[in-house]
Amino acid sequence: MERTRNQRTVPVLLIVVAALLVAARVAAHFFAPETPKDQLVQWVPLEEAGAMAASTNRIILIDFTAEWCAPCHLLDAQVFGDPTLANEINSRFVPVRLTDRQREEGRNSQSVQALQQEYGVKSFPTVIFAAPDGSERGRMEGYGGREQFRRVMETIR
Amino acid sequence: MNLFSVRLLSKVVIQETIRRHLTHIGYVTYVAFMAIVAVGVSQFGPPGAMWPTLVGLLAIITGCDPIGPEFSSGTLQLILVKPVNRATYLLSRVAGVLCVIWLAALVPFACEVICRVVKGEVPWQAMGTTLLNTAVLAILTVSLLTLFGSLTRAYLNVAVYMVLQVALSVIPMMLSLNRERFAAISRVIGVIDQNLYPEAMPGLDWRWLLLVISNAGVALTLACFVFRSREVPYGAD
Repeated sequence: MERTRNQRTVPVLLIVVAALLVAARVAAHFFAPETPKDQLVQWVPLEEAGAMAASTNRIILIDFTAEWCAPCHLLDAQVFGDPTLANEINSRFVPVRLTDRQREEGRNSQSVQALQQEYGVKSFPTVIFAAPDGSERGRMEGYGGREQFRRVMETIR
Repeated sequence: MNLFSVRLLSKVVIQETIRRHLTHIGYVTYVAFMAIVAVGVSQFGPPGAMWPTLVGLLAIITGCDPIGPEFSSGTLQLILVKPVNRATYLLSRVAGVLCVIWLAALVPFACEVICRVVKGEVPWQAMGTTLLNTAVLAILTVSLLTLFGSLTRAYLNVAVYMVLQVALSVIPMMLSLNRERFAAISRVIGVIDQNLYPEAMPGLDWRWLLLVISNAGVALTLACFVFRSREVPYGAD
């Protein structure tokens, strides 16, 4: 009987470690939010982007993102949350953010859906660089790190 | 009864698990294949491309081994007549499988590093992050397969793993036909999906690492509890 009990005991250490990990994760969620409170990139509403880009002769940067997309949050933190890159984005581009709501709400707004189809967005994050008339100048599918984004951005003129 | 008297891992079980895999021709061939892929992709692809996916596949192939198949083959019945703690055995098997996967991941990583050294540029940070994320993701994959294995027989754990993954992607799409009614359910399914099958992260994100490791910890703890009370009758399937 004692032998069976010993054979079936779950190590307390395992339970403690698992509980600590879950607690750390919950704490991280509350004390260190994934996206910075202060948005460094000045996102422009989609309706105003075309006119603003034409009047200032800038390229439109469209960030196709989704709440559930983990790499999108990394892109947020490492690129859009970086003061140097954010300044460059604000000065050179008209940044527009379009959040996909397909998974949460079953469908997207018509404008988001239309732009996703127009630019053939198949995965997230996808960043499109477009001229004021909407023609595509460049794109970055997926997130390959801060340096890769910087390199792509440099090629856009 | 001293609750802390149970050992977490058994060296013998870990060693035997590693030995069994390292001497398997299929494993050696697969690792060689990954090395070739890493060498090829390093010539034109971005750092850490392709081989992490293959390591993920290896995690599924090797991670399905503990418990379920052993139950059906009769090996488990033979092992459990020995005075070995069930949780210790399960965790040791997982640890052994993970060692094997990590060892396999190091091979394409090393091959890519060598190729990039020859080319004159090694993006250490990107490659190191890829290796770390791949290794951590393997822990979750193996933990989930072990949990499903502790509930099922034979290789049904892989089937459960795959079917659940597909279901978590398809069900929200089906529910979206009536989004007002099922919005909350879709959201819950989305959260479960993100927790069980998180996307591979391209960079270093400690929140993501914490998510994956904590979920693996929970899965392993549940697996130990399920396996603890499971009856293991004699006779193979």
